[in-house]
Amino acid sequence: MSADNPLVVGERVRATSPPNAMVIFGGSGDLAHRKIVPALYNLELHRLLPQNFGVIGSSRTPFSDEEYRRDMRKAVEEFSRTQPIQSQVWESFASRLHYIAGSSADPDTYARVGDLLERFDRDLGTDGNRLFYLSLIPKLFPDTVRGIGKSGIGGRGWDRGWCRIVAEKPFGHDLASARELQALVTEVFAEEDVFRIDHYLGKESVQNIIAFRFANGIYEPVWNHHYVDHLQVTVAESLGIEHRANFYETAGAIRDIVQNHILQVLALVAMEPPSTFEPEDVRNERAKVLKALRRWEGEEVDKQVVRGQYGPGWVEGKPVPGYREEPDVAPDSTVETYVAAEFRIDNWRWAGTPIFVRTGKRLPKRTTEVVVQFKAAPHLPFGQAAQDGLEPNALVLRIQPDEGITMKFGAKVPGPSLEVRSVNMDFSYGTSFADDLPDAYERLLLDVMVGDPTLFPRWDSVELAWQVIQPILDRWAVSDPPELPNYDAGEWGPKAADELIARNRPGRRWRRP
Amino acid sequence: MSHRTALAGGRGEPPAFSLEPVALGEVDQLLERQRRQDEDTNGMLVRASVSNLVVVCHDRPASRQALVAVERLGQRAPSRCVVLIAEPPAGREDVRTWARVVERQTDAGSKVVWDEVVVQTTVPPRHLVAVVLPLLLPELPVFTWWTGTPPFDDEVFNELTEVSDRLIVDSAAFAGPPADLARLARTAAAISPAVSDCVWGRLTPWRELLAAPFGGPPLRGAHDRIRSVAVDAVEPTAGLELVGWFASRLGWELDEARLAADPASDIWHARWATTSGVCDTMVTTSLGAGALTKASLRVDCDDGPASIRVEAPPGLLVATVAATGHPTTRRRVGVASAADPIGLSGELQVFGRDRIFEGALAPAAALAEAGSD
Repeated sequence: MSADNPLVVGERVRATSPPNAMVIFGGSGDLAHRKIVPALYNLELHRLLPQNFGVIGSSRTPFSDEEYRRDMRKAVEEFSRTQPIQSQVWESFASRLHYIAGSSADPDTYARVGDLLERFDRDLGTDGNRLFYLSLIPKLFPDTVRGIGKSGIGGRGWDRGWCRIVAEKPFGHDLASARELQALVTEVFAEEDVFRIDHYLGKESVQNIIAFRFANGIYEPVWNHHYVDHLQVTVAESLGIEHRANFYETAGAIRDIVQNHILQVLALVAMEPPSTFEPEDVRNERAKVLKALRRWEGEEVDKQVVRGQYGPGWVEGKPVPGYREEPDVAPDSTVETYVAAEFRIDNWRWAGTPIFVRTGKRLPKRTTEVVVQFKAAPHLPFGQAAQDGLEPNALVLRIQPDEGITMKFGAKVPGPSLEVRSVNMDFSYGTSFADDLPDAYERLLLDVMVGDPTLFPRWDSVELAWQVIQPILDRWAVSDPPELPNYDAGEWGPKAADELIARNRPGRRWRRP
Repeated sequence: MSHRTALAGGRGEPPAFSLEPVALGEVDQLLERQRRQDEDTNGMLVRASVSNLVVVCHDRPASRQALVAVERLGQRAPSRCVVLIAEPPAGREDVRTWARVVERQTDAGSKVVWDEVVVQTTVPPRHLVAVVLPLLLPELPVFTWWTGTPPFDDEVFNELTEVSDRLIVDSAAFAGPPADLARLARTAAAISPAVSDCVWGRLTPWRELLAAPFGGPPLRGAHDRIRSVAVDAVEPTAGLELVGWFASRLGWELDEARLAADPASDIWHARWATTSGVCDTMVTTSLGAGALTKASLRVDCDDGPASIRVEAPPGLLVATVAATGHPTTRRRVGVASAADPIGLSGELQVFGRDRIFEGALAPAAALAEAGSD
């Protein structure tokens, strides 16, 4: 659009998206309520949606347009990051929000969606540009993708504008199903039109990993096995599974968090500097990291990966049930709510450097962070008593909720003797830039409309991530699980996770966030 | 009562001044002491450093207004704000200084901390820089916000802009807005710091809404067939800059311009040569809230005439696009935060030059000078 319109060329900061129509399959679902529609409202509020724009929500729930708008207004009132809702802006947005009730298996659903899209093109000037958002449980993906293709409302053959599809995670349940899904999706859509959302990559603090590494000259020279003792990636949640037992019982922590969020964040932390920030250059470097991740297979999995499940305990001052006591969870479930693993990246930069990752539910607090733990100084001349409080340097990239960076270094304790202890130097987004950070979905939706795939995992990355995870799943399918539950809600996971990180170097420990 | 308690309060409340008098050379010690005052109970007040803001005022009432504006920036406040009341040298040369640390809780729950230093001085203009320099946080960008009309040709202006990375003005507060806008344009072309005008920042949503329809049907590509632009401007410089923006972005050349003034309003008429003919523009001063009240374009499209109209009812902007043979579309969007009506916070986020603004300034100034013929 900007290339055609000199009135937007060169404007600072904002990306301007071309006219388009968006269809949310699963439009009455949880994600549409919590994230997608609130994000669209905020984009409209901040004038980031195009003038020519329309939205269709579609799912089985029988709503009229007005009922759907009322329902979504309530959702925006509850979940929008900006409050209170500006009524007139909402009304203006809602006038372009429509609903079509129908099953994903019913061809008539797509015919009616198509008719409305035609009307959008005619009345709203959406220009034939179409964005299909699959906010669906995975088992509905195939019917929906086929339905779009067969009905001719979008896909490879669409030549009246661009046509993109957004797929929510999980992309597949395992390696085989992911490949199957990819085959299906690319039968209907070209790979460059497939945007797989991993909302972690839309977070400002995750994007700041790139800025921090490649906008500063002083860190990159020490960002390698010569200086780094190990890396840690932690995604901790204090919540349990909420109302997601049906999903969680078939997924577990490794599919829910490790296969996507953790590996994608790790790829950003460990990748080589791309030659440009063109989407494919960045995605190539991320994929190379995933390709270099060593695959653990067979019994090796038992040594390198720890699984856990929470029992009853206390979280945030309240008693909570164990996983097996949660509604809709099997009383003898062996699904993991906690995973810790040691990975290795077999390349020049990271050879020999352990990469420890962990994620879990019902941990003491919600936090996501990356720790770059540097090696200790080769010689400390202070005497043992003088350096008891000193630990090696560490750099902590805090992704959520307190977005920022902490650098740990040694400093002299004031006084007549030379005592040294570790202190933290903090940078906090919240108190430095202090702007209200946009929600990841706002950024990602805008990127889809603009056609920028940088922050979306490409198929090869998704497949490579599954190739890392699949042997672990295979081993777990045939081996006995540890005695579960093996950690109490409100603790930092099973003891085996502490043993995992410390086994090759006593003193190594998980950072306490 | 500690200064923390004294300063506690939400955004938008009038500041409870508890600036402590202090010698110029002891400002940093005072601020350090204040930061540590409640360290045992609340922890030390710290913040990553982002920028310096020097606010130049002509008297103490203006400085109080400036501090209120900085307070309203809330979470976007600079790391250090130096309010300089540069009075004309008279009799004894003097420097009086007050300082304090300000702590605010943002809506999101973060603590935001910044320093405020007020300097009232009658030292000669050539020594003002020596007064300001020691008060700046090292190596951070210096934004200089000049309230009212800067004395463009005076020594004090030259001295202070030399230590600035960015000069911020609000042309709506100029003593003689159109004529001073022309002076600003000449100055911006001559000095090294980047220049920005809060009026331009306040125009941002207007520009976005006026530009957006040319990105899709039915107006795609019709930007070179704009035949008229009419702007009702509460702030005349806003109207002039908006027309200047069209002219610079679309390559219009000014053919003729005149000012029709009457007791009720001023009207700047102009005719511009465009790539496909001519465009008539009219900027009318009007009453209302905000920078503009209405901007409308008339465009020739393949199917017949079309129009884009943006209006500003309270609290939002409404864009209406009407084109022959197409349904009329109307869109309502949000405007700037009421907490920062000046738009200063937006200018504090910009570190480089704003080429689009600089491009718009020259034709805007040419139009403004029509009134001085």
